[in-house]
Order: sequence, then C-alpha cells, then structure tokens
Amino acid sequence: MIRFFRKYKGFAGCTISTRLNYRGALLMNIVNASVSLVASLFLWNVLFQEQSVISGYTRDDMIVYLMIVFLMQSILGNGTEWEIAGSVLEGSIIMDLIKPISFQSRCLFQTIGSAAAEGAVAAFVTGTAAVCLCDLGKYLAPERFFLFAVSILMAFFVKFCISYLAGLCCFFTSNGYGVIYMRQVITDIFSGALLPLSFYPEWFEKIAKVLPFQSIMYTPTQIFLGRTEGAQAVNMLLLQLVWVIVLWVFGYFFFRFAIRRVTIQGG
Amino acid sequence: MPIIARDLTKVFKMPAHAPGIAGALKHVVHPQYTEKVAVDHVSFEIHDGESVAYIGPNGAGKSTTIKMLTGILHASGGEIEIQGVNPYKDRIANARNVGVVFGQRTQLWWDIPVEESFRLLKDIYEIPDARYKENMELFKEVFGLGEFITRTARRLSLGQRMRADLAASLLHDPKVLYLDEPTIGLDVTVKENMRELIRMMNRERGTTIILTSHDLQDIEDLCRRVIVIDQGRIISDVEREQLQSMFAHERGVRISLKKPGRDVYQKLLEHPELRLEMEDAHTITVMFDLHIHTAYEVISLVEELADIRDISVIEPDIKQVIEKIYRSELQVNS
Repeated sequence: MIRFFRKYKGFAGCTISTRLNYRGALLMNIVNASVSLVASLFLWNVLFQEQSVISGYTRDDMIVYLMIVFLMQSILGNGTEWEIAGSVLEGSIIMDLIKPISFQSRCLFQTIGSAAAEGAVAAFVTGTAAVCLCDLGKYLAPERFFLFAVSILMAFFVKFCISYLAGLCCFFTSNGYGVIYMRQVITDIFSGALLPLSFYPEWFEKIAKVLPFQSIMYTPTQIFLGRTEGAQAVNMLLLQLVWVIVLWVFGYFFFRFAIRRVTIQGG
Repeated sequence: MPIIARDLTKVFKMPAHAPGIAGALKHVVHPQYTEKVAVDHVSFEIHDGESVAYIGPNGAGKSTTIKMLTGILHASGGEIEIQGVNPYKDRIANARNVGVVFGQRTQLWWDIPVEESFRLLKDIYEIPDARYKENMELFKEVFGLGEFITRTARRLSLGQRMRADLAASLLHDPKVLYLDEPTIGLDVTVKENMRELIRMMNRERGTTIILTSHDLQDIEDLCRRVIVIDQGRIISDVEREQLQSMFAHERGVRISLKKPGRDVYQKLLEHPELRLEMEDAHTITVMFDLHIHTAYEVISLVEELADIRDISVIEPDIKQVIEKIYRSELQVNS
C-alpha cells in the first residue's frame, strides 16, 4: 500500500503544480461555480418566502444542501474525463502506456491532485459563505461530521470511477463532448445535484436510489443534514463502498477491453 | 534471447464511409469496415546491445510494429517476446525493461519544471535514490540538462526538449531503447548531438537500440543493422554495410570538361547502358554498372571525346540505397 502510494503520489503532486500554474483558471472555475450557487440561493430564497418547508427541507437545510453540492462539485470536478478523452483522442495516452503503471491508478492520483487544488479553494469559499448565511451550529455534531467526511471521500471515489468510465468511452466514440456532457447531465439529475432526490416523484426517487450516482451527492448531504443517522448512515456508507469496488473493478476490465480495440491516432 | 518477433501480424478495421452526407448516414445505420493489414507476418530476432534501424516509407507498418513491441497494441497474430516477457500480456513488466522516445511526443509535463517530471519518473520506475542521483549527474554532464532543468517543459527549445526526453527515457536504465523519429525537426548540430548521446548509450551501457527514422543520416550514424519494411512485410534484413554493397554495383563519375560538352553528351548517348546527366554546360555525370564497365573505362571513353578538367567518383551511400528501395527500383531477396 505504501509502495503503491509512493509510486503514484507524484501524479497528484504534478497535477497540483500544474493547476497552481494556472491560478487564473483555478480562480475562474470557482467564480463561475459561485455565480450559479448565488443564483440558486436567490431562487430558493424566493421560494421559501411562500412556505417555510418544501418537500421536507427548511430554508437553512436548503442553503446547506446547496453549499455541499457546490463544494462537492468543486472537489469532484470534470477534469478526469476531459483529460482521458484528450489523451485518447490526441494519442498521448501512449506515453502512459509505455510506463510500468496502471492507467486507472494514474488517473486516480491525478484526480486527487486536482481535487486537492480546487477543493481547498472551494472549501474556503463555502465555509465562509455558510457561516454568513445560516446557523451552521445545529448541523455540526462531531460524530456526524466524521461520517460526513467518510462519505465525501467515498463520493469522491464513486465520482472518479464514473468519470473514468466516461473517459474510456472515448476509445470508441473518437469524440469526447457527447459522452461527457451526457454523463454530466445524468449525474446532475440522478445524484441530486440539481434538486434533492425527495423533490422528484416517488418512482424516480426509487430508480435513483438503485443507481450509483446517488452516492456522489445524495449520501453526503443526507448525512450532513442529519436526515440519516446511526446504523442507516453506516449502511449508506457501506453502499458507497460497494459502488466504489464494483465500479473500480468494472473500470479495470473496461480498460482492458477498450485498449484491445484501440487504434492510437498518429505517431 | 532479448527480442523475438515471430509472424507478427496486425490487422486494422477501418470504417469505410461512402462519400457525402448519404454515405455518412449510411455508415451510422449500417457501419461497414474494410480490413487493412498493417503488419504482415513479420519475424526477426534482435540480440542484446544491437543497434537496428527499422525503416520503411510512410505507412509501411513501422510504428505499428513498435507499438506492438511496447505492448500498446495487441497483435492480431504471431508472437513477441522481449527479455522473456510478452509485452502485451505483461505490459507493466515489459515497460520496466524498455525506454521509448517518440520524437513527436513528450513524456515531460508541460507546465512544471523538468526536474519535477524526472522525479515523477523516479517514483514510477521505483528507481533507488543512489541510482537516480548517479544517472542525473551523468545526464547533467553529457546531455547538458543542468542549464534548463529548472525550467518548465513549455519553455524549452525543441533541441533541449528532445535531450530531456531522451534522458527521461534512459533514467531507469532500460535494456531496450525504442527511438521513433528521435531527431525530427532538429537542426543539424543538435541532431549530431542527439546521435552522439544515443551512440554512447549503446556503446557504454550496451543498450539495445531500435530506431525508426526518415532521416537516413540517423541510420548511417547509429545502426549496424537495417530492417526494411514495406507494406507490412520485411523486404530486407541485413547489416548496413552489406546492404550498401548489395546495391553498390551502380557507380558514377562526375566529369568536368574544359569546354562546353553538349556534343560529348550526344556521343555518349550511343552507349545505352550508361545513365547520363548534364549538370551544367561543362559537367556530365555518368552512372554505370560495375559488372559492365570500370570507372577507368568510362573515363577513357570521355577522354577520347574531350579534354577533362576534373573527375570525382560517386560512391553509393545508404541514402541512395534506401531511397531506391522505397521507390521499389530494387528487388531485394534476402
């Protein structure tokens, strides 16, 4: 494990260095995301003037919900799949394939790097905003916070595995946009990033809960808001873990399958 | 046995589009493919410490072969073994033994200092600290890395980038080094510098060199053995000198005359076995077959017709030989 970490850690480090080289872009990403965050905060503010509880969410719940989604989206970014798509389409993936490394682990560590760079900035923005906008105190039980931290970590891995699979699809499509935008839309809807899952019709919620996407946003938010507690929360974490393992193994075999059919462009 | 390829074959499936929008639509509904044999039953053995040029015209199957040797591409048929490892089945084990330089690509990270890219490679290949230090010292000395190692790869000149890339590919002491167009786009002195470095690695570390290049000087300077591939098949696999002498029966003399030599040229046309060329009014190049004439005979022939001022003999070099193979003027049987 230590050996594994030592071998791949450089990918995270180099990615952080690269990101910090583009400080402007890093900041703009956060600013862009903040704009849409602020817009939805205003929207929900208006809605909560009419009624104090919507589908079981109070105003404060909703603000926290939006904050967590914002934080998660910044941490989880879309970098992975664009980079995989780019390296597949442009052919530079061969520079990774000639090295004694697993492509999947290499991508994971690269994603960890960009998450660290963007997450740090996003966490600062969210933290500050949340303190100003609502009474955070009632959400911050230490035991719950620990579960929340674990669920974010799991959410990160689930999101990575899904992005990795989407990125690999470019082996077959010779184009990244379609696959990646579709992946984003599906994730936004089924993970609860757009709206909490309880806002959807019951049948839809049921479908969403058997899909892996809910592990990305729904699970961490529910735990932080205290809507799932104790054994139920632990079960949700376990479900996340199952998804991580299933998707990782699937990604491993999908890569082997994809690479067999690869025709690397140029060079 | 270090590198063995037996009946190596690669068949690509290419989408066959009919022309126009209708064709594109048709392809969506009912995709059709044509098969293209890129590499066709290629066999060779390469020993430790050899330096081999693997050459052929564009689209001959060179890069495809290299990609199969490096385990990137899956062979459609045949066997490969490199240092006892099947490169496709055991890509990672194979990657430890080989270094690759693709002249058109880089393994350096664009936005971070070169030094950090090297440290990443140290982690990836799990190079011990002492070995890493030793190699870095050597590369700083002979590759001149010291002058730009703290710069980001983005800011290197092409020559510096290629030197850094070559060093990067050698950092883990590979037994085999693949060079795919290692001097492409470099100017003459930098090319010479690159070649010297490659030669040194081959000589002093016994690194096996496999080179594909369109620069024939690379081949002449770096390789003792030349494998020529065309349309996926090996058409020649011999020592470089042998290749030269096999085709050396055509020689030439370049003769400068004291007076304009149009009439001499006309007279020489009576000998159809000679290939003639008027370079300018005073200079005639005469190409002849060694089996039919000697250089002395040709010169005597001209001397009878006019006064000669100067003579130079044209020896065939590898460039001409290979250019001829490419133009399919020569049939090779070996």
